[in-house]
Amino acid sequence: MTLLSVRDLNVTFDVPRKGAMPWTAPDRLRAVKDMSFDLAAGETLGVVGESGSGKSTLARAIVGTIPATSGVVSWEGTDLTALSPGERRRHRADVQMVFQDPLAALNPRMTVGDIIAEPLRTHRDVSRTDARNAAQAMMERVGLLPNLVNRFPHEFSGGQCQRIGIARALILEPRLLICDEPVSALDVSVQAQVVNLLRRLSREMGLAMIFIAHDLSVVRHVSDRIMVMYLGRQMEVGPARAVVGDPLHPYTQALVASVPVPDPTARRRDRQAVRGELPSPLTPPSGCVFHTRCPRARPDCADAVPPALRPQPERIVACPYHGPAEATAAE
Amino acid sequence: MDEATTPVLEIEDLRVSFATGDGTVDAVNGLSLSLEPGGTLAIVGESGSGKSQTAFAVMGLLARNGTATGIVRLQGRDVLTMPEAALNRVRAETVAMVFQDPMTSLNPYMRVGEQMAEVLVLHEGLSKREALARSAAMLDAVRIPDAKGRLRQYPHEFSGGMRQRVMIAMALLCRPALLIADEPTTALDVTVQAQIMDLLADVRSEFGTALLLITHDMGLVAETCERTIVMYGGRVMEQGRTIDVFADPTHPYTRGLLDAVPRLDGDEGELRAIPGEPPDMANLPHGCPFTPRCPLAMDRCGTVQPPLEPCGPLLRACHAPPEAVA
Repeated sequence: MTLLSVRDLNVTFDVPRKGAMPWTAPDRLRAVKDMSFDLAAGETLGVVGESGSGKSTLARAIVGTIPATSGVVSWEGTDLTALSPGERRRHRADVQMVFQDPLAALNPRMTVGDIIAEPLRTHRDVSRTDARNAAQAMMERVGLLPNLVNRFPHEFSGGQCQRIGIARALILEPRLLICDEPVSALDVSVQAQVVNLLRRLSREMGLAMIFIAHDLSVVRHVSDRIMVMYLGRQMEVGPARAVVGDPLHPYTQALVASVPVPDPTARRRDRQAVRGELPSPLTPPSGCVFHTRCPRARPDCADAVPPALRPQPERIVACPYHGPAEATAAE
Repeated sequence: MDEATTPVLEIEDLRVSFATGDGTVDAVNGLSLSLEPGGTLAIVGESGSGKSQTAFAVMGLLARNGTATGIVRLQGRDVLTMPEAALNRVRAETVAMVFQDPMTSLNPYMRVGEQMAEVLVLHEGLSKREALARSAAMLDAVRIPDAKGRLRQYPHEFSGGMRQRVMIAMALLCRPALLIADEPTTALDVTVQAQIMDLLADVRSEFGTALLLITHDMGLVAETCERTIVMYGGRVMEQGRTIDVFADPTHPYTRGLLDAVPRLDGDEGELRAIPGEPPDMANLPHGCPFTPRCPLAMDRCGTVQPPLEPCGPLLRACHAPPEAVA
C-alpha cells in the first residue's frame, strides 16, 4: 500500500545576486528538481548523495517545513501541498523527524521527560502525568533508563541524545519517520547501536522510514530501497542490494568505488576517476548534471536531460549509457 | 646513525595529561611507537581515545593546560625538552601537519600565495619571488589547475577539497620527512576523499614522506597504512602490522570495532554494535578503560591495567586469553 507518493516535486530557492539592486531578479537555486517516488507503509527508503545533493531539502519539503515550489506530495491519496496550514497540522503527527546533531536538536533547558512528551502535549489532549508515563515507557523502548527522566540533555552522551531524539519522534506513533543523517555525528561503535535501534523500532512499529545519509554502507544496512541523488536530481533508484551490489548509474558506481574497504588484503579497487567536485547548484551543468564528472560522458550528455529508464523491474536509472561497473572500468 | 636508518619519529612512553576543573584528565597513557623514513602508520580510535592529543604532543601544540611526558624524537632529536626556538627549527625541517578542517587552518584574510610563501621566506630564507614560484609549483604538484592564478585567491574562493589540497601543498613546501594528517578527509565527501587519499599516496611516494594518519575510519587505515595502533580511552589496545590487526585481532575492542563498521560487501542486516557509551575521560576505571563495554571483562580488568605485551605478531593489552577473542 502506498503511504507517501511524491510526484514531480520541485523546490527552488531565490538567492540574491552579489551586489544586486533591489529590483534585479534573484538567481534561482533548484535544490530539488522533478523528484518522483513512492513509499509503501513499513518500507525504508535510503537517500544517499554528497553534500549539496538536495537530500535534506527533499526531507523538509515532505515534512512541510520548506514549501514545495511545484509538484505533489500526497499522503494516502491526499495532496499535502494543497492543504491549508491548519489541515496540514493534523497530518504532522504522522510524519516525524530525527536530526543529525543530537545535542543541537534538543532544548538544553528542558528535561528529557518534557522534551520527549512535548509532541504529545501539543497534538493530543493528555494530562501531565499521562504524558510523563508515556515518555518513560518510550525511554525504555529506545534503551534509556526511565529514571533519567528529570535529567537535562547535556548530561547525556551523543548516542544517548540521539536516542532521546528518536523517542521524541516516536511518541506520537507516527507512520513515517524521516531520519536526516541520524548517525553521522556518532562514533562507529555507537553508530551501530543507533542503526540497529532504528531497524528494530521500524519493524516493531510497522514504521516507514526515509533514511538520509551520505554514507552508503550505513544506508545499505537500513534500507529496503535506495535512491541516489546528485545536484537535486534522482540518478538511480532500486532495491538496496541491487543498487550497492550492481550499480548501473556511473555516479552510483563512483560512490561505491570511493568507499574505503576495511580489509587490507583487498585488492585496491581501481577507483574510477570521478574528476573534480560538485558543481555549484546555482549553475548546474546542462543536460545530465553529472556529465562534467562522469567517466562515461559522451558529447550528447550535455544536450538533453536523460530520461528515467527502467532497465530492470523496480529499478530506475537516469542514464542512457548505464551498464555494469566493469564496462566503465574497461573503457 | 645515518639518516636512512634513524626513525623519523620515535615515541617512548608518551603521557599527556590536562589539568581541568574536574581534576587531572589523562588523555594519553604510555604510547610508544617508531616510524621509519617513508613508512605509514595509523592511529585509529573513537572520540576521546587520545589519538589527536598524541599528534598535538608530537607537534608541541598541546593546549596550555596540557603536559606531555616521555620521549618524542623527531629524526633522533628529543623535542619535548627542547627550547621553543630550537623546536621551531625542527618542526620546520622535519614535520608538517594537515588538520581536519582546512577552512579554520587557513588565514581567511590572506591570499593563498601569501600564506604559502610566508612559510618559505621564514623557514628557508627565500625571496618573495622565489617563494611564490615554489608555491605555484607545489600547488601544481597537488593537481590544482591554474596554480599561478590560484595563488592570488583567498581561501573562501576554494572548495573544500581544493582547500585540503592547499593544506597538503603547504605542508609539503619544506619537504618534511614526516607528515601528520589528523582526520584529513573527515569533512569531505566520499568521492573527494578518494581523490585526496590518492593524492596523499602519490605525494608520499614522490617526496618519500612518512605518514602518521590519525583517523576513526577503519577503511582508510586498511587502504593507507602498513602499521596500525588501536587506541581507546587514552591507552593502546593493540598495535602491529595492519594486515595482522585486521586479519586476526587479539583485542576485544579491535574485534568489536571491526564488527561494528558497516560494510558494502559484508552481511546485510543487524550490525554488531559495541554496547555501552564512549569513555568518560575524567572518570576512567583504574584498569583497562574498555572494561565497562567489554564482553570478556573479568574482575581484575577494572582494577589492574593489562600491560602491552607481545602476542604472536601483535602487541596487545588485555587480560583475557587471545583465543577468547574471535
